[in-house]
Amino acid sequence: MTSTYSLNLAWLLLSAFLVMFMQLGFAMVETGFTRAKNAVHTMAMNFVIYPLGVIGFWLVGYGVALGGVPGWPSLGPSNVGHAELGFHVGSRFFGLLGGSKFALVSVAHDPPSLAMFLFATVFMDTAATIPTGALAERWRFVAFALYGAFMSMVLYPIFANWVWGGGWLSSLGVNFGLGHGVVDFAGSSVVHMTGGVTGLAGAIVLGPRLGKFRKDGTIALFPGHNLPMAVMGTFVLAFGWFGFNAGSTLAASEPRIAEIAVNTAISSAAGALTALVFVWLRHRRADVSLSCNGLLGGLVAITAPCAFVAPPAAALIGVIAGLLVGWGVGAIERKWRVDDPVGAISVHGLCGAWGTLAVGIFADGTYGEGFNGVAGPVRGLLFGDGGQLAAQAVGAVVNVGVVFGLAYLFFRASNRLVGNRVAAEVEWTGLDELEMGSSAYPRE
Amino acid sequence: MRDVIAGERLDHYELTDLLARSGMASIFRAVDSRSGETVALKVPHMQYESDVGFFERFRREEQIGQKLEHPNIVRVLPSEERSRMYLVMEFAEGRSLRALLGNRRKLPQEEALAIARQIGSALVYMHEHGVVHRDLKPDNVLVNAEGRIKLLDFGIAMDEAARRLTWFGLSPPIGTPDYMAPEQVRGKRGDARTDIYALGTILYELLTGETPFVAGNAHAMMRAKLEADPRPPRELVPTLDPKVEEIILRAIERSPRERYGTAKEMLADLEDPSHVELRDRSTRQPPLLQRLHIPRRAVGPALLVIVVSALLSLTWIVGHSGPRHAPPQESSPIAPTAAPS
Repeated sequence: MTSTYSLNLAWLLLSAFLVMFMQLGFAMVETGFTRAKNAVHTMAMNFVIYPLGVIGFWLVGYGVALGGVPGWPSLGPSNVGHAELGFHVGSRFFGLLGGSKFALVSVAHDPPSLAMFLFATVFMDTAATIPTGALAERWRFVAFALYGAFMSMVLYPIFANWVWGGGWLSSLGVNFGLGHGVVDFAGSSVVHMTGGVTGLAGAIVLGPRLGKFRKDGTIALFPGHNLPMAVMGTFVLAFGWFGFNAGSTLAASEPRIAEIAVNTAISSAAGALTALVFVWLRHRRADVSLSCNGLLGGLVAITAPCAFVAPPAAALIGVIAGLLVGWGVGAIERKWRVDDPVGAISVHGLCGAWGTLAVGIFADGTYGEGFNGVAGPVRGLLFGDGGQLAAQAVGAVVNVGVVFGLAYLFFRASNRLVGNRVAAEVEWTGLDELEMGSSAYPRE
Repeated sequence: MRDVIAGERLDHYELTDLLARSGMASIFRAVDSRSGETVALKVPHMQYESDVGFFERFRREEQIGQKLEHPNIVRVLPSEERSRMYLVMEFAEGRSLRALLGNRRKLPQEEALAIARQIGSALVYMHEHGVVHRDLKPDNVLVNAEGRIKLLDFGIAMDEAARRLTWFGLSPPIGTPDYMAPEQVRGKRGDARTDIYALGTILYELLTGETPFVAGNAHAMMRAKLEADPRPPRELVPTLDPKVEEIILRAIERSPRERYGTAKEMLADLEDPSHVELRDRSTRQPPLLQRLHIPRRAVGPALLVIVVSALLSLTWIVGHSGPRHAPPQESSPIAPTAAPS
């Protein structure tokens, strides 16, 4: 048994290292897709969100998110206190917030909790770095820093608790017979939707970059300044994603990791090709930047269902994600008049919602025995359990409602407190020179 | 300095009349006061004096012009001691083929062929000397009262940085794409066969009064050149000799590989069209996908339906065959979600 625990601990730590590496991928993708005059600012946000997030999650976030979980059986026995705050209605319990393990005080020498902390931290940081893309090229740095604290200590931990920490969304199955409750294996909703929806709220409150939407109704194109960098970042993300998904078994002793990794690769490939063909047919141009976003969309969408579906379903999930990205990137600009410089809202928000629902459609009943305390494997609509789809829909709707609402209120408040936007002059000149005081590409 | 005008003196040249004026330069008739010879002076407008790229092109035109000595090519005369940038050329009587076409719209077959032969002979000579014109069009062909022609304007010939004419880069100085070869539309520099294409287009226009492709604007024209076939000249002029039509169609083939390989071969056919073998173009197979005539708009949805139904079937097959469950394990490791009791 001890060797199994060691194996699983090593697996989880290795996966956490891979997911941490995704911070680099995000930095490269977002900076590549934005303009040269804002490269330092975009990089700086992607950099600072990491230390800020680690500290915030260590002090507060982890306790809120996972303070109610008794232990991690695959990682070894641990005998630590846990507390989930919530309320009872009759015999039903509705968990709302974790209430222990703050600053890791009570679990300072508990290997399972610590490994899980590291894994959960880099997940949170992934979610937290998504809005920096949607709000790039106009966000005041102090407002961004405030957001980093809010995201790592409050917003992300709340929704993570509801789905992963024993909160009420995970008990929809036990309490109401809706399948296994919300099933999100690696975070299509918890991580990606949360990031995408927060980015949407922020982009609405901040408004578009100057000159994006012209008075005559046309929309300006601001091409990214370093496509090669964006492509490299995409590969870094795709690589790290194997840790994201396969690591979420929390166990290398679980043979399902093979299928999870394969599904992850297939879905991302299908997403990339679909987006490529989409843009090729529509604009007669094999646009690699959209294809990159298609690959990421495929990854986001397979994140929740990766353990529960067969490879052909993974491909189909990726195809739909590729279409959502191709359609969404344009539609969000044209229909909603929201300016998302890197396409984060489509990639993480739309595809995250799709991935969440996809569990409830394609889960084929070969995995997930006893998941969320409900007997039997996880089945989707196509394999006989419509209730699972209903639970997934509740999860997606709650994410849109609660995360968007809280994020919106936060951005409004931060605007009053410190001001969200840089001055117009700063934006025209470039945030690097006037907001950050340095330049990515000095002329000399 | 300012732009010179007729009546003024430029070094030892008396400018007598303004012959032509383009966006970039004026051409004057002038008298060399030393020899009494009548010459033509091409003087760029002032604003180009300091343009390095333009200067380079101008210098190249001069070098090439001095290298070429052919009865159908305007000669560039050597001249020293110039106080500013200009080009001294032999003075050729006549007007441009463009002006001629403007007056007469189209010419009888023999007259048109006579002009095409002279252009062809100039091309043969140029190509043998390693010079490709690249900008051959009726505006650059002078024709005198006896029907003798001379080629002009080697501004982009041989130029390594020759304006790369791309789909999106159509800038005003380039003007009409009528005579541009498809490979130039695609952004390539072009070679000898590019001039052959232009000559074919000119002959087409001389005989029919129209250009092979008609489109509402420059972009549509360029697209037509890449995707459509030219109207056969005999549709416009039914009395035209089918062999002459064959020469034209072969010269303006979309793919350079299908054209005459050299100006020499084309000139031979122009001199004696009776030997030309007719090719049957109707049986030529376009790429399979084009032959299927699938409307572009239907491709996406059709692909989607096929892919989605294939993947759904596969999902169903996988879900309903083989072992339904993973082998049993010592413990169930899925963990982070243990519901509180």
